[in-house]
Amino acid sequence: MIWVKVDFHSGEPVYKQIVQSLKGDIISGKLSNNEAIPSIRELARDLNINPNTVARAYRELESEGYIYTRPGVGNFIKQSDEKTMETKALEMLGNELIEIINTARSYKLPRKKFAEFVMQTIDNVYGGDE
Amino acid sequence: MQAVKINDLSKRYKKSAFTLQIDNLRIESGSIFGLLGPNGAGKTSLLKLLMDFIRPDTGSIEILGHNSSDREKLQTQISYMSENKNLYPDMTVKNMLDYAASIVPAWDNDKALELRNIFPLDLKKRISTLSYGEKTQLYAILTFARSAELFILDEPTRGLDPLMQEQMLKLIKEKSWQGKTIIFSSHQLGEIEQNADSLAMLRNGKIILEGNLDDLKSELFVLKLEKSENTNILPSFLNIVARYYHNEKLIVLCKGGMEARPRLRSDFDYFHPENVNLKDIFFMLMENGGEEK
Repeated sequence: MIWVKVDFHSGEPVYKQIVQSLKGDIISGKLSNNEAIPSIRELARDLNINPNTVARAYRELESEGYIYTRPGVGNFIKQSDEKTMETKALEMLGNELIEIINTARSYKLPRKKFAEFVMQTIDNVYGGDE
Repeated sequence: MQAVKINDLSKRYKKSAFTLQIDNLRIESGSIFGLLGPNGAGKTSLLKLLMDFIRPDTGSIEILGHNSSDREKLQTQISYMSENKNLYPDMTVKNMLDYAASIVPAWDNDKALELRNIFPLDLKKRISTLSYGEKTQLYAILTFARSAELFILDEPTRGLDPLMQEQMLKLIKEKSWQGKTIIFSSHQLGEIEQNADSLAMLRNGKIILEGNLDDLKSELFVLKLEKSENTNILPSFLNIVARYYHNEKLIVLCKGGMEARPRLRSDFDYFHPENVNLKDIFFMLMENGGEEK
């Protein structure tokens, strides 16, 4: 089942919240290739939100290649090849990363020091994983 | 297809020196459209004009492809909930429902039964003895147990406790899930923000903001500046919609977020654009006399 946590009162457009959440689930593999997802109506009901908002989210996901539609059948997840998924993953992280780097800059952290810190933190979190 | 098309509309109320003036308004089919504004802004007037209860002085209103005065064609297609939940006081709830079944166009009896389960009213009670909340529930059954294309609701959740409010909003969303168009007025921002996909803000008879809510959230943003900072150095490419002084800060509401925000990030990184929600937008445009569109 798809679940999206929607915040109506943040300044973030609701359809974007749905798009980001589903993109994350797709890139992380939580939703697998060709898996069926709820219709616009069904998802709107599940989340108790306006169906036009869901429709817009689906349109954007489709145009960006994350889902596809079989008319009369339903909506399905589209997992691309590894390289494309990697690109998509980096795209998703891009904005957040820029925020963090800007914060580091505003703290007047020297570039080298920050890069070292980042590598260290990556080692800590990833541990022995590739 | 557009459910509602308004052009060059004006309606003047001589007694109160109030004029409703709408140059251009389009409401898309299938949308849930919220009409926001303080009391006296003109929300009820606008809805009455849509219903042809009153006629405009100038301009045209087209509903579902017909002129709004074409009541014969529109009667079966529009369902209206008035602000005053007026019903026949001496009828019992059952009388009212039976009466409605016989005269309301395109009455849906199955839906009526379904709604009677959600709003369990005592069928034997006289309407005059019902509380305001109960009257609203009965009115909801009368309004929604119909296969209309367009639902026009004047403050549908007013006077309802939170549980009933949720039920009413659920009914609205259900109609939307079926592809119907709903226009509802409210002065509860949270309600509009959580349920409407498009909206218009009315103030003193004029629309000061309208559009798709998600688009508005993408396009609008605020910059917060210390009053002491030299505020003349706001970049010229900023499209400023309103300014608001709050405590020691100058808050500037800007339009054009899609182009302006990346530009600010790269060239003017001491400005930190922030998202706005409906409450922010509302207060900036209403409270401090923001520039009207």
